[in-house]
Amino acid sequence: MGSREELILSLVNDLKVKPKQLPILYVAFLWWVVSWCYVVVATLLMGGIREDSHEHWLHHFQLEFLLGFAASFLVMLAAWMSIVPGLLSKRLLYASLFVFSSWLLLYVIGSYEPVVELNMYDKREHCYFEGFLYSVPPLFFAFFLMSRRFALQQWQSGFLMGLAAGLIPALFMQFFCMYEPLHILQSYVLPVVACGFFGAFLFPVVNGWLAKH
Amino acid sequence: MKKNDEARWAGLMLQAQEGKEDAYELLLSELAEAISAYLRSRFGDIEVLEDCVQESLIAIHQARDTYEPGRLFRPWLFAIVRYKSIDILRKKNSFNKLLELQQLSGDELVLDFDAQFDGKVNCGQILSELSDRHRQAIVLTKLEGLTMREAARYLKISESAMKVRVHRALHASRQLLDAKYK
Repeated sequence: MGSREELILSLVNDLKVKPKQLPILYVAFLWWVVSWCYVVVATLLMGGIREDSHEHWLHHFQLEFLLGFAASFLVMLAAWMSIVPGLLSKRLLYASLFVFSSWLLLYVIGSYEPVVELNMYDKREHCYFEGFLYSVPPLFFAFFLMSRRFALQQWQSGFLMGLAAGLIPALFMQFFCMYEPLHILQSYVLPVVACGFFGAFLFPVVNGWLAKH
Repeated sequence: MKKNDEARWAGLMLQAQEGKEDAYELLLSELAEAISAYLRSRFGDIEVLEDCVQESLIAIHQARDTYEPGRLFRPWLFAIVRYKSIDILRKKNSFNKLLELQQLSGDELVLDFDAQFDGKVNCGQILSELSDRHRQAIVLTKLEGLTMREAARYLKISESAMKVRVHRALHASRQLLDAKYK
């Protein structure tokens, strides 16, 4: 018997029936909904909504928020699909990064040509850390759910999941903190990118640890 | 033919997920042939082809629960095969470079160290200070006397990865020995 046949026999002998897993898209939407609820509640508990946010909503918030929402959705989808071999298409990956970059670009343009008068009204004391900290529990919850799958490129999955987790509080901070595009870039968008790298670094470590235990 | 394979493999995988061993054995046998043909068409008759096939089969085994009914089987399968093959080829290249570097810097150093290591390893002090992966590599190849191939099979990694692991374990041990017996 050749070594390949021996290997196949040993794999067959190792065959065990595992409990059925939920389809990956169900898990993704479940994570997304839970994360949104958690971030809204946490942000509300730590400070109120900015009083004039509804006025901005009528003008320019719509495009910024909807683009950010679309980026959050697409990045989340790409992150979850990347942990099933062959499921994530390059088209979806590039589309999600394109929409995310477009959302970021809106603030770069806004910092040169603000749509509304800039103000420091209802500025939160620690919005930079808040955004990052709120994204950590959803990120670890995602890591836990992801570890039961089979991510081929773990750093990529970790990076996308970090972006997806970071985007949720970043979007909400638009309603909960002062409005100024440069402030948004520094205090909300930068933590999203930081969270992406944090996820890329941490996911292989956490995944390895969870696999052992 | 491809459409038939697609449907049959998907069906066999679903049966395997339900624990049917006959279906799983048939599936793995067919996949091994298909992977072998695929790799040969892409890379030619490379020496690590069998390693790539076996590593892919192990990865398919580990990932078998991530295949979802109703999805295409081939993209799932070949994503794993591509990733594993590239990984092995990359390691193989690194290992070749490592060997070249070792030859440039002088083989004697490593060979001397092997003799030194074989003489002093019984005390177990060095082994206890190594990481689990390195200790396992040394124990299997130096103490248990397994060949690289046998040790690799035992650890379910490729032979080239096993060689790299043993080399690194020896290097780590040499550093520990240097520190202790200076």
